[in-house]
Amino acid sequence: MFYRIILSLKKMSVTTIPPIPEIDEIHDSIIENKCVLVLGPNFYADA
Amino acid sequence: MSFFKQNKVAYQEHYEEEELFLFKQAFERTKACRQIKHFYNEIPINEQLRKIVQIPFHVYLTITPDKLLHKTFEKSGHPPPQIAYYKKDTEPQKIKTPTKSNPLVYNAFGILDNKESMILTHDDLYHYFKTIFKQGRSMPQQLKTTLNEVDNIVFLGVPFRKWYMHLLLREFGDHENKDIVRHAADQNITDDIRNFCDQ
Repeated sequence: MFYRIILSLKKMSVTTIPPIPEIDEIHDSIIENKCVLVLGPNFYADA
Repeated sequence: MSFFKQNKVAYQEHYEEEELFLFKQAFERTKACRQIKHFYNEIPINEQLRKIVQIPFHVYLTITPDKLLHKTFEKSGHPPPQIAYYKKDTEPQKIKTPTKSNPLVYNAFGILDNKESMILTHDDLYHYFKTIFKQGRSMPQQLKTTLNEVDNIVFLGVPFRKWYMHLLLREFGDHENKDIVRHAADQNITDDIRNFCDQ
């Protein structure tokens, strides 16, 4: 289900680096407890 | 932080590049902490935050001192996450191994509820450095172990040019792991930042 959410997060940004086409990899690593999210101050500024 | 000026918070100096301040007296720091708390409390829980907590990360690491993620978990009906944060001059909190069913929200540079934990001045920064370099206890050992084992790190709204980014990456053990992939979302991508992520 959250696969779509990752995609929608991607759309929130004008640019991503590297572009997040590796959604499958991110998805799998989240499932395996191998992916960390780091949230910074610009997240609130951009929101 | 223009809100400091808007709210007439008293400080002697504002070192803009470092995002640090020099306060004349202790009460000014207290007042500044109150203003920062007010600033973050005014930010509504938005759709992005709601979406983020639906993604079952096992670790949500935030470099701002707010509790917006904690609140979003609460308001969205998700089970409460473990909460931990950098504490000045004290042992890191004990945590359980973070998993997607028992995630951790970690405020890496302090939290609003504990104003002594916030890094606002060079003195705070000195204590932070002392903690991580001399004592090696800026964060719970369990979290360090977890971070060293991750395959992917997703950065959202992280200013790559700031000093704390490099500290964070070392805490991740990132500089030793050349295979790690950095994914980042930023509105203002420069060649420098792109190079940073490609390194």
